[in-house]
Amino acid sequence: MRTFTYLVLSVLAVAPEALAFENAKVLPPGVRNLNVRQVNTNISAKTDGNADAQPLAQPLMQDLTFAKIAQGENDLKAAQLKAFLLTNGFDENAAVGSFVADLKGNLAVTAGIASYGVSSNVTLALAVPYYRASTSLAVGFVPNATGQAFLDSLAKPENNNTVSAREAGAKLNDAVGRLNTKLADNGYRELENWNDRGLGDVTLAAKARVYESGGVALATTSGFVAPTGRVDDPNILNDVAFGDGQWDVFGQLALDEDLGLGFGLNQFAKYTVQLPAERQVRAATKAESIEVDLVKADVKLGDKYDAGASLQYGAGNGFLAGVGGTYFKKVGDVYRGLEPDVKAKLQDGTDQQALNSELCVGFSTVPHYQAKRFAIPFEVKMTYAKQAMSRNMPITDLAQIDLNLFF
Amino acid sequence: MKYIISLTLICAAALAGCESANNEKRLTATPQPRGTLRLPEPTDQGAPLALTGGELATQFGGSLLFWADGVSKEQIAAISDASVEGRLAKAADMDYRFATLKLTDAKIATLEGEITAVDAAIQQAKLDNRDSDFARDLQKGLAARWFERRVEELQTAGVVDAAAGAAALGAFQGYCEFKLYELATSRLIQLDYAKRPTPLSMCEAYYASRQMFTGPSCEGGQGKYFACLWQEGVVKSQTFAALEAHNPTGADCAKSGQKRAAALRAWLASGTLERLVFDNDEKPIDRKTYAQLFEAAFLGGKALNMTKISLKKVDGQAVYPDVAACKSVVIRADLGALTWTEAELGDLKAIGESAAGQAQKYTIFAAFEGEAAETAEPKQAVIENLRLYAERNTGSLGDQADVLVSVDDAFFNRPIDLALVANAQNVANVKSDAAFAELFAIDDQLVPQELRDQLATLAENATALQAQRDLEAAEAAVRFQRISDANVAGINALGAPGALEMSRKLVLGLVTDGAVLSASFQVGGGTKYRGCVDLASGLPVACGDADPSDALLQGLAYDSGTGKVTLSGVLLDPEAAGFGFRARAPGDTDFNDRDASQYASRTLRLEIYANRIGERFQFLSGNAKLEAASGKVEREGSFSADAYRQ
Repeated sequence: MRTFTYLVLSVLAVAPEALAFENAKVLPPGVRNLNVRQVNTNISAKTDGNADAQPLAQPLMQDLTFAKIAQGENDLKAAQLKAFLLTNGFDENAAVGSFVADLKGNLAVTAGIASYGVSSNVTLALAVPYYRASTSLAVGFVPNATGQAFLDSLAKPENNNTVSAREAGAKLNDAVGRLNTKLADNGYRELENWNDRGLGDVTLAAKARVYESGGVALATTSGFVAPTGRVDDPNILNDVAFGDGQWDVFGQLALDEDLGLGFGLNQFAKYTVQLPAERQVRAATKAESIEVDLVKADVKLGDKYDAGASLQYGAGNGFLAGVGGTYFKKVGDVYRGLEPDVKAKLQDGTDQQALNSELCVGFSTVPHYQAKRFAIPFEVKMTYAKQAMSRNMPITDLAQIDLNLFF
Repeated sequence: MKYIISLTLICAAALAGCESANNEKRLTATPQPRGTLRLPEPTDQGAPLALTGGELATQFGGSLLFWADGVSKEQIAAISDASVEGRLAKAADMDYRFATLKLTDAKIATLEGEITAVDAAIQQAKLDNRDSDFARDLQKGLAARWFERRVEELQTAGVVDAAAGAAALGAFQGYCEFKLYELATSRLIQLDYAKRPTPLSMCEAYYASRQMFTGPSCEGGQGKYFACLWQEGVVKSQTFAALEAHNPTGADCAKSGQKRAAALRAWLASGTLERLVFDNDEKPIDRKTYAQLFEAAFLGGKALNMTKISLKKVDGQAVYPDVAACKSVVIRADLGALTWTEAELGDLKAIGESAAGQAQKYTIFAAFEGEAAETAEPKQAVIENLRLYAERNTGSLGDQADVLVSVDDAFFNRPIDLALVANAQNVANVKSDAAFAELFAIDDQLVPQELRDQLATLAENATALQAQRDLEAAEAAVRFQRISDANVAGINALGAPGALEMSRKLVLGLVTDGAVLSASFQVGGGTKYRGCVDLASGLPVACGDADPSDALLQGLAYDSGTGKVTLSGVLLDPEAAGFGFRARAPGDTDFNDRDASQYASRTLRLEIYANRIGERFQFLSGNAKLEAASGKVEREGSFSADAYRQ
């Protein structure tokens, strides 16, 4: 079980990440807004660098080959094993069986976003997400005919290794248990279900409407993301990080265009710089990912690009609706101070892309409040984001509910 | 009211958000299969080594190896390949020799036993049937014309010519008549018979040609055939007829042949002779007396009148002695003239001896009265028969028990001698000719067909098995060559540079009585380490027959679960224990690159697993370790030893 890949689940973009339905609106001076955002998603698959879907547990679903078994032995034992394979017609690279696994993730994030209209054109916002995450993991091992033939060959009278065959067979039959034991022996958490909850990375942002004329408004949003969420634990292969462990700085430009009859067109672009940081990682390589040291590494996570456009409708009766799409891209992470093969392993598959289509409906009491028909101005909006394409991203559709209170 | 509605909507939205979070269907991983490999059954240690409850006294010879640092997988594979191939070859060889060859040998032995049994049954059947009517009829049938066929074959084969054949047949007829006389004068004829006894089966054809044994006296009344032989046999003989046909003319030969014959027939018909014979039970008459009685009756005292006997030299010049009518017969001048009427049996003998003695020089011509000497035909057969008959009845045989036929009987041999004398170099051919073979085969015809078929089948099987055995022997040689090839491969692999640092001869001894296992190892002919373990408890015990010269094993354990036997001994004197330096030599697999000092106080531990290939080949193999006093394994190796027996 040498080439074991971390099952890091990407941090899901939640509060700070824009959906399509951005706008250039700001709060009136002195007006406060509390947005309670609820995001739920389940994850069972991800895409690879070629945008092909694969099970989330794909890294675990590996063949156990003679070569991998030999790697765990000393030189003489390895040579003896290979000699046996040679004399009995086995290919060193042949598998004796395969690990099979199923990994599913469940994620619920509740974010409180508090905004305040500092002036007629500037609004400050603070987003505090709270994560509840769990992963369900089942691992198995299915030996194959080669494995059986290997045992049978060992036990042939002329080879006289029946005891070794029985020992090897017992080990293979308990491959999952032995993997867990090995993980535990090396400081890892055994492969089992995981769940946790806690604070995510907190975002502080300022939005400024810099232009508004003739139905066109332009606003900029800038801010930073503080590393307040739990980061990925390098000793847990199936955990979910609530934060990425370093400061982010971002800037966004949003353009609204009033199309009349309650329709409006919004376009936005956002750039997030992830500042360098230091984090603990396992010095895993392609050849070995368990019997590796826990080391500190300098990392520069890749910067992110977000862009989107949406057509929104806001009727005078408070009905809200919209359709849109977003594009997300993150460049690959860069690690420093590590061996090349460790860096390669850590950096592999860290560049991400996603293209989502989105739909939202909602209701706003603001028009009614303004018409004195409602005592409290608020909005309720439900958004559904459908991932159309992605690379190195969890395949997940987001369901988001926003409750905005204005006071 | 507005506040109430607003708050209600806010609360409803908040609740909906919370509900969506809580009610979100959580995905659970699907349980994954965990396949199971079938574990090979533990080697039945009891079977190959009989370590439990059986008997074992086996010594295993092989090699102890320690790997060199950096030994490659190819080098290990080459050694392993040679070792495995050697095991397979030896196992095949042992199974072949001990199973196939032995089985064939056993089959052959069984078959031979069956053949012997059937042959015994056949012989018994022959014995059982030899006296049966069938056998007698068979023998009679075969014998009846044997002599004639024999002469024909001899002629056909060119052994004898037609004249010799005719002479032999003539002689044989005389022989047949004397067999008749012999039986007629034998005490055997006094016995009771179920059927008419034959003087000689081979003569039956001749007897039949002369209508012998056809009268009423031959109907076997009360089993008596005396009268039959005399009245229907003797009086129908050629000699008797010849005598009857000739009427001597001399005064002393006045009684005609017909009259003499008539007198004899009457005398026989009167039962005089029969009474003389049968009424003297208390004092049986001997043959001489019998003969005299016969002579008296047959010859009538003056019956035979031989008028002329002449001698003729081989060169063809006849010498006619002065014969006066029938009164005297001059055989040779030095013998004087004999009057036939005066001739006694001794005289007849003298005549015959004279003739026999002069056989190389003279042909004896005898002429019956009335015949001209010049036209006399050779009657030597008659004369000789007379001589032999007289000799038999007056000579040394006369007082002996009745002898019908014997191999040295002059009667029996005479016709054959006559036949062979013409071409003596063909004796071998004669002895193996078909006529004899047919006679010898009489017995075979007495054997039931089933037995004969059975024997034939067994013989065929035996031939086939022997052929198979020959092929198997050739195959065994091929198998042995395979062992040799494996040995060569092993020598090359063991001696390959960088593969091993030590390869020494190893002898492992395992002896058990079912309760205690005695185990030993000996490296390179050095010190023998030995110890004993209780098989039930797995604990070491003192060996009952400990040898003071043996070193004690430091550890000895037997794991009944896996069958593993672990031996360990401390190399206090590595040199003596076979761990001294030993230089490599081409073709030698006994070497050690290290010197003894590097093994001092190390412990040699052998983990032994026993196994068996096929039915007979037992071997041991396992791991070898050299451990420091701290228990650290310093060197690793392996060993293989077997109990191959040629």
